[in-house]
Amino acid sequence: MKWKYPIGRRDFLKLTGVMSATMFGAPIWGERNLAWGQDKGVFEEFGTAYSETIVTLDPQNTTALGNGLLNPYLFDFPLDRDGQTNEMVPQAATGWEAKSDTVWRFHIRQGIKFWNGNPLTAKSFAFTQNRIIDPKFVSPQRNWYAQIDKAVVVDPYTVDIICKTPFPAYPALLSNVPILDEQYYGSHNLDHTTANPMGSGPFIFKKWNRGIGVEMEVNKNYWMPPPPIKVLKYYGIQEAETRTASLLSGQTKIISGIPLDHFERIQKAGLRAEGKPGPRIVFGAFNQKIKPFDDMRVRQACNFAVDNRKIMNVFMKGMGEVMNQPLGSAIFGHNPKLPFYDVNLDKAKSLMRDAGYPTGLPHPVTLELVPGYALNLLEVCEAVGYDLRRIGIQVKVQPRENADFRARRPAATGDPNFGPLFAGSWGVASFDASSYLPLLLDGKGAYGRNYDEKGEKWIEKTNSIVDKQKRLKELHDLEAYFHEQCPFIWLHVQPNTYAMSTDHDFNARVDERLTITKMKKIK
Amino acid sequence: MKKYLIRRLLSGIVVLWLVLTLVFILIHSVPGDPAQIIAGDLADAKTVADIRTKLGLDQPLWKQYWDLLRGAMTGDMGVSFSYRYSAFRVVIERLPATIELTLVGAILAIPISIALGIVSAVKRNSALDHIAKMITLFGISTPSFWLGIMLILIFSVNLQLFPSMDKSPYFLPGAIWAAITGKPGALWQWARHIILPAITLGAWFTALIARMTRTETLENLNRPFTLTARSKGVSQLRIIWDHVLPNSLIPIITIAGIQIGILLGGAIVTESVFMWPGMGRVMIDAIFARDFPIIQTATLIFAVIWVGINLLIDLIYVAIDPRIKLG
Amino acid sequence: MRKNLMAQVAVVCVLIVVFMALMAPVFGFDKRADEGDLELRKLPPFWDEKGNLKYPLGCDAQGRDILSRIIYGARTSFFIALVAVSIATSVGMTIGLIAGYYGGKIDDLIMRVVDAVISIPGLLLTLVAVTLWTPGVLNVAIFIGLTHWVWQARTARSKILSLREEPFIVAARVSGAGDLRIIFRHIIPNILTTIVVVMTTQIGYMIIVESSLSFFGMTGSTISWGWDISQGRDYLSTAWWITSMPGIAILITVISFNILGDWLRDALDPHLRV
Repeated sequence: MKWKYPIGRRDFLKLTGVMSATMFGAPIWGERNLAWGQDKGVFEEFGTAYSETIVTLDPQNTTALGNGLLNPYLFDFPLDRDGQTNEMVPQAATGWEAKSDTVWRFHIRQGIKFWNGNPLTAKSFAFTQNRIIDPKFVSPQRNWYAQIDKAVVVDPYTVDIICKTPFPAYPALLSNVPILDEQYYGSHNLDHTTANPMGSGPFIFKKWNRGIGVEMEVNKNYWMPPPPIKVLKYYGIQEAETRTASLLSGQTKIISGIPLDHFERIQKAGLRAEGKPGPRIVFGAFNQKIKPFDDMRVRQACNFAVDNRKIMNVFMKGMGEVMNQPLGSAIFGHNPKLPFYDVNLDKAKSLMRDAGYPTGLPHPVTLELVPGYALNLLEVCEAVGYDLRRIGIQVKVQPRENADFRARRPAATGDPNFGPLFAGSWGVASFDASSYLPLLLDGKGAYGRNYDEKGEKWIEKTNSIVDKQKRLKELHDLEAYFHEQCPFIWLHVQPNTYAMSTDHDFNARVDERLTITKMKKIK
Repeated sequence: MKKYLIRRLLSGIVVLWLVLTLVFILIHSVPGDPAQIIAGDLADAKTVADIRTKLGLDQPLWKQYWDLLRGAMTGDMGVSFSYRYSAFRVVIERLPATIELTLVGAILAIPISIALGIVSAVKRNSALDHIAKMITLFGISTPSFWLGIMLILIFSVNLQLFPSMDKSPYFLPGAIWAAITGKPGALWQWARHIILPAITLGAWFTALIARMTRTETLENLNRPFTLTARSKGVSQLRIIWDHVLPNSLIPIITIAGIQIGILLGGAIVTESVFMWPGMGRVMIDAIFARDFPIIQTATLIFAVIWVGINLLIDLIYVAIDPRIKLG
Repeated sequence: MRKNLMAQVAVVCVLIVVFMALMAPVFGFDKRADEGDLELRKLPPFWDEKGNLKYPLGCDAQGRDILSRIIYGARTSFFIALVAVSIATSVGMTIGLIAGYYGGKIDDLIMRVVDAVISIPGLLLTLVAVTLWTPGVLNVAIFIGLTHWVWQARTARSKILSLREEPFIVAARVSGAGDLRIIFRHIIPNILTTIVVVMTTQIGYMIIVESSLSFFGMTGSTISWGWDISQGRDYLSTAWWITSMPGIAILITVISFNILGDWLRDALDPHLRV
C-alpha cells in the first residue's frame, strides 16, 4: 500500500510509541514536582533579555519575535522544538497523525491546568486555532494559517484540524501557537487580554512594566517540574551595550541577539557566549525591474565578485553558514548538492563582458537596508559594496528607516524604483520552505522583486505536494533553479547568539528562543 | 492681570490646536503603514487591509482629523496601535517617570550651574574661572548618549556601583515613605537608579545655564548701576544678590524654561540608553511603529506642559522686571 | 586681546577644522575614509602594541582608517552645522525681533506658532525630511536649521522686551525715528553679543544634534562624526577608539568654537562702544 501521508512511516511509528509512553508515563511526572529545586537550590530571581520590547501580551495580536520568546514562559504549545536537534517534539499534545491529506489529528495531554484552574483540553486547542483565523478578530498571524478551514473537537482530548488544501508544514508551525484558555479568552475582549494573559505555562504572569519587561513567578502546579526559578523576568533591551551590561552586572542570566563582537568581552569575564546557525538568512537582493539586474549574467557576476565566505568569517566569526540558494541547510527543501559561488573575479568580469558591461556600470547603484534587520547588516552591506567595486559597480549604501523601507519594498504596492539593490533578512522557526520561498521570491511576498512567473508557479506547486519525498525532490529542483537564476546575492545564515552566566546549563538553541523549561541550576 | 491670564490661556489653546494640526499633517505625510508594521512581513494584503479597518485608518482624512480634535477635548485620544489600549492611559502612565527624571536632573543642575556661572563671572580670568569654563565647555560639547554610555561603562560595569537600567520601584515620595516606615534601603535604591540618567540628562543643561549666567552676570557687572553701587561702598556679595542676579535672571529663566521643556520632550536619548520607562521612549517607539494615537497624545501632553511652563515664565517676568509691560 | 592663550589655541583649532573640511578631497582622504580592509577591522591606535603608524587612530569595524574618516567627516558635520546655524539664526532672530519689538497681537501670534513648533518632537520632523525627500546632507541640515531656531527667537525677543523700554530707545521713538531705523541703529547692535555667543555655541550644538539624529538612524551621510559615533556604540567596550575618536573630534571642535564665541563676546562688549 502506498504510504500517502505527509509524514514518513518511521516517524509515524515513532509518534505512536511516544504517544503511548507518555500516556503511561504521565502519573510519574506529576510526582517529580515535589523534588523541584531540592538538589541544587533555586534561583530567587532570574533575568532573560532580548532586543525587542513587548507591546502586547495577547499572543495572537502580534507577530513580534519578542512575544515569541516570552510565550514559552507563560503558555504551553501543542508541539515544541527540541533546542538541539530541532525536531518537533510533543508538549501539550502527546501525539499527532494525519488522518487524511487535509486533516491533522492531535491528542491532548491530560492533567494540564491553566493558572485559574481551568483544564487544558481539546476545546482549548480548537478555540486557540479558530481564534487566529477568525475574520472578526483580525490577528496579524491570520494568513499563516490561511489553509486551515477550522479546528474541530472530536472528544475531550482529541482535536481535528481541517484544512482547505493539503498543509504538510502545519505541525512545524505549532511551536508558535500558545494554547489559550477558551473560557477566559472567550469572555474577555482584546482591551483586557492585551495586558492580562491567562496561560498554563511554567511561570505565572505577575506584572508588566511597559517598556521594561515582564515579571513572572513560578507555577508550582505545572505539569512538568518547572525550572528552578522563583521569579523570572524578561527584559526587552534594545541597546546591545546595555543588554550585555545587564548580563555582566548580574541583572540577567541569559541574553540573546548579542553582537558577535561582544563575545570576547563576555568570555573574558568568565561567562559563556555561544552561537549556532539558526533559521535566519541574510541576503542581498536585486530589483529585477531595473536594468541591468534583469540580466542573469550580471546577477551571477555579482555573486562571483562578493566574497561571502570572508564576510561571514569576519562578521559572524565563522559561526554562520555560507549560502548558495534561498534556503539554509537546516530548512526542509535545501539542496545539499549545489556548488558555491566562490570568489572568482575573472569569471565575474567575463560574465559582465558577455552582458555588455566590460568596464562595469556607468552609474552608482543604491543598496538599501535597515541596519537593525540582522547582526552587523550595515557592515556586511558595506563589505558587499567594496567587493562589487572590483567589477566596476559603484555601490552607495543607503540606510533606511524601518517603516519607510517596508512601505517601499513590496512589488505590488511599493516603490518601483526600490533599490536596485537591497538587503534583507528572514527567519521563521518552522524550518520549512513554505515559510520562506513565497515571502522571498513571489511578487506577492514582502521581498519578491524577482518578477519571475515561472518561479512563482513552481513555488505554489511545491507548497501543496503532500508526499514528503516527492516534495523534497521538487524543492531540490526548485532550489537548483534559483541557484542558477541568482535572484539574490547569496550571503549567509546568521547564528543565533546567546550569552549566559555559568550557574545554569542553558545552551544555545537552533530556533532563536530562550526556552528554559528543562534548564537546571549548576552552582 | 486677570485679563492677561485669560488671554494667555486662550492663546494656549490656540497653540494646542496648532500642535495637533501640525502633528496630524506630519504623520500622515510620512511614508509607512502602521497596519503593515503590525501585520508583519508574512501577512497578505487582505490581512493588512483588515487591520487597517480595525485601526480606523481607512476612514477619510478629514474624519480622522475631526476625531482627533474631538478626542483631544474629551480626553479620548484613541486606542494605541501597538499597545491596544487607551493611548491617553499609556502616555499618562509613563509621564511620571519622565517628570521625575527631568526634575531631579534640573534640581541637581540649577544651583550648580548658577553658582558656576556667577563664580566664573565675578572671578573673571582667575584659575577658578578657567576651571569652571573647562567644566562647562565639556558639559556643552559632549553628546549625551555618549556620556550616558561612558557612565554605564565606568559605574555599572566596571565599578558595579549603579545599575545600568530601569528605575527603582518607587518615586521619591514613595521612597522616603518606605525609608521612614522600615525599609531604609529604599531611599538609596531610588538614588542609585536615578543618578546616572540624571547626570546624563542634566549635564548639558548645567553647562548651558552656567554659561548663560556667566554672560549675563558679566554684562550686569559692568552696568552703571553696579558701578554706582560699588562706588557707594556696597559689598560685592550684596551687589550680586540685590542687583546683578535679578537682572540676569530674565534671560536665564527664558533659557531655563526652554531647556526644561526640551529636557522633558528630549529625554528620549537618555531614556533609551538607560532603559528609563518614560514618555520619551514611548514617543520614539511610537514614531518608528507609526503608532498615531500615541504620537498625537504624547505630543499633545508635552504641548500642554510646555504651554504651562511658558505661562509660568511670563508671570515670573512680570514679577521680577517691572519695566516689562504686558501690552 | 590676543594675549589670551586659550583663544589662540581655539582659533588654531577652528582653522584646522575648516582646513580639513575644505581640503579633504585634495589629499585623497576620501578614499581612505570610504574603503576598508576587512583584515584591519578594529585595529587599535598606534600607541597600542597591535597598532600601526599608518593608521594612527586605528580602524573602525570596517577596517577604515579612523583619522581619514574624521578628516573627511569634518566636511559633513561642518557643512550641516553651518547651514543649520545660518538658517536657524536668520529665521530665529527675525522672528524674535518682530515679536519683541512690535509686541501686542503680533507678538502673541508669533509666540504661539513658536510654542507649537517646539512641541513637535524634533525626531518626527527629521523623519519627514529623511523619508519624503532623498536623504542627503543638505536636507538634514535645512531641517535641523528650520527646527532649532526657537532659542534664538526667544532670546532675541526677551532681550528686546527689556531693551524696548530703555531710555534711549524710548527717546528715539519719541523723537519720531522710524521703526526700521530704531531696529537697525539701536536694537540690533545691542543684542549682537548675545547672538554671537549663541551662534558660536549653536555650531557645536548642531553637530551634537546631528549625532543624536544619527543615533536613531536618521542621517544624511554615512561619513559624518555623528554617524561614526553611533556606529561605534556596539564596540564601546571592545574597541573604544571607534566611538571616542570622533567624539573627541566633536569635543575639540565644539569647545574651540565656544571659546571663540566667548572671546568674541568679551571683545564686543557693547558698553565699550556706546
